[in-house]
Amino acid sequence: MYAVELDNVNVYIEGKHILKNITLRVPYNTIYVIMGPSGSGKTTILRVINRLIELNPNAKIDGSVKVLGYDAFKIDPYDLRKHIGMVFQIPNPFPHMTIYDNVAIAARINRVARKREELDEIVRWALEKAMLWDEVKDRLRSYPHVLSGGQKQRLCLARALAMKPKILLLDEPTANIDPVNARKIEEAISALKEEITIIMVTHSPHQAARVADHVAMIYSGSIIEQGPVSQVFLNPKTDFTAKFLKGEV
Amino acid sequence: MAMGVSRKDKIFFLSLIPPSITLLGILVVTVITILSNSLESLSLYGLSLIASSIWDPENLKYGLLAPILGSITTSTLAILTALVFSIPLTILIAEYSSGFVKNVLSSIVELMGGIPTIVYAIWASTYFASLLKQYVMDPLHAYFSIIPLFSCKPITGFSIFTAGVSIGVSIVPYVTSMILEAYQNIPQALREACLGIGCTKYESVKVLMSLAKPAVLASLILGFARSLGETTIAVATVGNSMYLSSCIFSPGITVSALIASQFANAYLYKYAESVLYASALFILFIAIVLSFVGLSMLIKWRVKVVV
Ligand SMILES: Nc1ncnc2c1ncn2[C@@H]1O[C@H](COP(=O)(O)OP(=O)(O)O)[C@@H](O)[C@H]1O
Ligand SMILES: [Mg+2]
Repeated sequence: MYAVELDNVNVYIEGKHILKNITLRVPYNTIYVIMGPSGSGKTTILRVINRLIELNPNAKIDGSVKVLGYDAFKIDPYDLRKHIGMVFQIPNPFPHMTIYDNVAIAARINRVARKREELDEIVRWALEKAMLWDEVKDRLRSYPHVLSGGQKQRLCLARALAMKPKILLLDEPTANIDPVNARKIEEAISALKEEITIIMVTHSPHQAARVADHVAMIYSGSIIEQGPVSQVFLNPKTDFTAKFLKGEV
Repeated sequence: MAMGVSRKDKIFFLSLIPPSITLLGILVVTVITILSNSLESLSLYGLSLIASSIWDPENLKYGLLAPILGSITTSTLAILTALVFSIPLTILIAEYSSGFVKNVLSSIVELMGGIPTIVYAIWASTYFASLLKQYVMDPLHAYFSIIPLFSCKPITGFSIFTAGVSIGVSIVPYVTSMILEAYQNIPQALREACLGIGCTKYESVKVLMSLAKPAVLASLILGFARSLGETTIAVATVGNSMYLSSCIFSPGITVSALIASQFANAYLYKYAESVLYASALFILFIAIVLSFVGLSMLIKWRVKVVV
């Protein structure tokens, strides 16, 4: 059994073939990293898994997607998304909610906690897991605009964690933030796989090497290589992967 | 002016100036006219002009309290009415319709905005007023007459209440288009943030609406300013009575209705014209302040949320 299984998934947007026969298996409680150059289809894979892709009426999808053993396209998309947290490439905290409420709303919506004390506890837990607690514990009532970009992204990570998701999708969570914050997020992610299955997208091979258990290399909509991180990094099967790992593409 | 413009461009640019200056001039002249014409009554009556509700031109007693409170009450009712329609309409158009249906719905709203207010006025006075009396005012009076606002028995449909609700219906398109624009301007990233944390559609709408709240408030403030100036519908439905009442089911008057109905005969009474000018000044002042507040709130919201 896998946490996420894609079989021969194809995505077409306005007739353009965006994802080509994607097949991948993500074991439970591992960190699965999808690497590839920009425009290769990484974000689209994540959006297939939580069905955000359907927000685009021009997108056509075929193939099979299984999440936690269920056929993702046979269950209600809103139910599906209750099990899948997502952190986007650009931090998107709710600007009108306090730091506390940004995290608490995810718990409330998913009925993880209702009472004040339970909420306090889960907010703290999520912020600690996202390695943000120490920096915001004295200003939980402030609004996110007081935070730096990296802190905002960790707030979004905390928000996703407060859902108590089984699966976490991370779309280049460190692409737009400084290296110190990036390291913190990587550290947080590595500590999380005990509890959560994580699928992360990155265009940085170094980052993949630091956090991944399994990696997949995607190029122009196709997965050209995948396997345990040591295998792919030590013995890349394709020239493209070898070059990508050396930072040459 | 920008560098490197040709002579023709310069002439074109210069040709744009006169209309703009003229318009600005008209505005300034209007304000000055209203101001200078009000001075006589303002200096004569002072604060009592807006603090008194006695209207007795024969004995040169002028108090504008009834029309001023009437304007404020009808405009408040108007934005409450508009709110009741605008929020569901916005959600329906933005979230629950797409393609053809969405176009039709938005077109209907736009079309309603283009209907001359005289049409609303006729409809409201001949049909809507009695409908409101029968199905809203009478029941409210029957069950809630302890509340002062509902304490008087509605005699005819013509009342502060009817004027407020009718004006409210007429500004629905104006208010809706502002709220809709704000709502649709919420970045896609925040919509996806909602779905990303497992919100159902209803929960998403709730989060996004709370995000748009300052813009909704600003739209209502602008709607209030517009309601203050609404004249045709007010004259046709408010009942045109200068008696001040704490009950919204009794006939009343608004500043705009007062000016429209009295201005032609004002020369018959001493100071009456100046008093009417003073009332216009009052409305103008509130409308300008509210428009400024509403617009700056909208801009501030956009800068904070959209960018
Ligand atoms: N809404 C869309 N409309 C048209 N093309 C799209 C859309 N979204 C993505 N694409 C195309 O799909 C390809 C993959 O995009 P994406 O998954 O975002 O790549 P990545 O995340 O790897 O940078 C790109 O070529 C992009 O232009
Ligand atoms: Mg991407």
